Amino acid sequence: MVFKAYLRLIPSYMGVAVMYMAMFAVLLGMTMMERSGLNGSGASADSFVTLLAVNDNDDTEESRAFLEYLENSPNIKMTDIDFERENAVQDSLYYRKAEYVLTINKGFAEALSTGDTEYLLSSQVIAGSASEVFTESFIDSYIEAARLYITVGYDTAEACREAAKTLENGVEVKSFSADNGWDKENTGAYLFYNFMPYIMLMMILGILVPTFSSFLSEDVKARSLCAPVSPVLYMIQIICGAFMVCLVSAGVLLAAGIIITGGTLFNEHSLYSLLQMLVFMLFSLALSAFVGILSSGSAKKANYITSMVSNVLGLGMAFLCGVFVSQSLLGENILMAAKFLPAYWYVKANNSIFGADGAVFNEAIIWSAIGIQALFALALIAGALLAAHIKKGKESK
Amino acid sequence: MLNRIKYEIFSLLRNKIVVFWLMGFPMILGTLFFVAFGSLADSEQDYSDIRVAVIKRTAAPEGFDQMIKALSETEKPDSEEKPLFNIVTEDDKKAKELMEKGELQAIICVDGDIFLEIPEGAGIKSGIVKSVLDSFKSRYKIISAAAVSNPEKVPQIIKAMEQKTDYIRSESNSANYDPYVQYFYNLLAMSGLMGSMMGMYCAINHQANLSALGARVEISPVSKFGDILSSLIATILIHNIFLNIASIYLIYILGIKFGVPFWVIIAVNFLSSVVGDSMGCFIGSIGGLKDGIKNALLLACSLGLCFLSGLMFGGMRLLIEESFPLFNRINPAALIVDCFYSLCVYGSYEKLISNIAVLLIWCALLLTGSMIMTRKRKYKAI
Repeated sequence: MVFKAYLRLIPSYMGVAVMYMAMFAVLLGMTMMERSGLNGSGASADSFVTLLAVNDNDDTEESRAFLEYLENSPNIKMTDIDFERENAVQDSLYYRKAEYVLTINKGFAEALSTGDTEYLLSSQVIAGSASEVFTESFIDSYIEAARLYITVGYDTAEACREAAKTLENGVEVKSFSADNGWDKENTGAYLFYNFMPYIMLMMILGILVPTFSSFLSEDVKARSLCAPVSPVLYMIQIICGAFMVCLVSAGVLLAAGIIITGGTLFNEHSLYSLLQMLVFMLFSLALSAFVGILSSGSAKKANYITSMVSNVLGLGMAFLCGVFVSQSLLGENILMAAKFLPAYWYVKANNSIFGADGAVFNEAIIWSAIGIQALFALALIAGALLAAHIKKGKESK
Repeated sequence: MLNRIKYEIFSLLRNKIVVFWLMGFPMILGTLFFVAFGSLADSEQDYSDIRVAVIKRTAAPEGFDQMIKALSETEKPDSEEKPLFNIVTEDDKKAKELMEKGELQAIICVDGDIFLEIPEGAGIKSGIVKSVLDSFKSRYKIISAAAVSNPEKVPQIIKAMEQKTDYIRSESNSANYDPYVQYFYNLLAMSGLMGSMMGMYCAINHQANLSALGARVEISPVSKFGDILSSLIATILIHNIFLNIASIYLIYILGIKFGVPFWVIIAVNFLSSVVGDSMGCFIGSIGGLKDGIKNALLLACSLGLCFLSGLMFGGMRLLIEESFPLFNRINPAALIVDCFYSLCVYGSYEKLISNIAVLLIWCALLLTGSMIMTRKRKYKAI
């Protein structure tokens, strides 16, 4: 009876779940698109790419040869800027649509042939960035090689072509591959499981806290005590109902994940991913019970406490623990503090499962991280029981 | 009137939800942005001190040792500036070990020719090493070829190589190109527009057909215009104080470089609070809609506009600027962000002034609309 009544209350809070599902789909889809864009352009052994925009004011054979040399580099991706639009260059640099904006000045070819090569190009760039150092070194090598060929006796256009040829046959690069288990095919699956702590926490808290709060409020509890249901059975049925909601939410998220990732969600290590998803789900359930018990009594109070707690905890864990920004990019002190949050261990295990973010597949790390998340869940269950006990004591007075 | 403003302020300050969402939440979210994005901006500027191993299995080409030495030393030995290369080891075995641990950006190997080994998925630092070596190798190749075919040209080539020329003139300005600062601009825009939740109650609580409280207020012997105005002034005042506290926290405690004078931030905060509260007042004045729907509408409007100005996805504003620029000229969130952005990146007050003008037009339109909708005083039935 209680189980059925509990489930009947759930549709009133489905709006939150739908909102977070939509947010999850957008977040995952956009991040996947961004990652695939970068992978697509990185055909070289070394996978970084500098975004370069060029405005060719000279438009001669020499300047076109120079442009061709830039375009052929695997580490340079040409990007288009509408140079006619006011502030287009600044906008592109700010939003990293271009990292380096190069202007081939009028008279480029003539300056090369006469040897008056000072300032034959102009640049607008993010000052002091690594892209600036790389691109300038890359361009300098070319101009210098062309100058040397002209000194040897080549004509300007031929010197430009020879310079490109010489530099294209530069040092041989070998790629050192540590077998960490990473496979590009898994990008979608990795991102899906990585966003899971944020979405799951927000969804489960959004649905379960108000329902826990309603069922554990004094009025409803007092009425249920009159019914032929023991308090223990009453609690068990509520927990079963909540668990059912969690399982359905996880199922819906997995189904959405399969569609968004194009069926690449599962691989040989997916059991670990699913197991830790289940453990994190239990943590979210325990947290909902804890917050629901604390806020029981007033539906209005439960609603605003839910939005406060879910936003602060969800966003806090996502930013501090490596859900939105990779753990390798977070400072040491932040990571030290994040160790006291379960999402840190979730992301750590996820990195290890997929061999992502500099991690290597390691079963010991994965099991210990899942164990720590289980301990967090247990600690919260104990906290929820204690809170319920204290609340009951206060009510009986 | 002053008395009414005073009690409106007390009433707003006692509302914990308002205090949390308008002051606490931007500060919490700002702290999280700071924690997450702080190291990202630094990593972009980090290109020196590239950890390299140099392994020589055979004799190195002439000039190679000098080049490596020059790149692993700073021009001024006493300065804190780090050299481009940090030669970690010259031992083959140790280099492999370090590479496996991910502690090396490149292994430069001389074995007859020059080879480079870099980790898979290497970053720009490995690219810089490659570019330097390519340059060295091309010069070596040209000079060797010339020595065979045109030996009389060699002194000229050496002279040309020694000649240091700057080929590229930098035309960059001193703008703050940190792309993560725009998230903080958006945060302030969001806080400004989220104030519409407060503004909504300025209309609801003073209009007989919208709430029981409104009906009681309407039968009291006070001027309706004065009543709504005092409520709006109190709301704007409190909202503005919250926004300024959040800004002070972001700028002076977290140290976020907004790239604009503080008085501009205060002025834009004031305008954004007026726009947000007027928007709330306007939606709140619409009769026939439940409070919940008005709340949802305001939330969707403010978050939707902030999404389009780049709160959740930084490049959104540029995307709209390139495809449908008119929308950026009228979206209040984008206008608020652009007030900071244009001054920080373009360094011009012209755009700031035009953005402020459009925001003022928005305020005037929304407030006029609200006043028209709330002018009614007599009802046959409520």
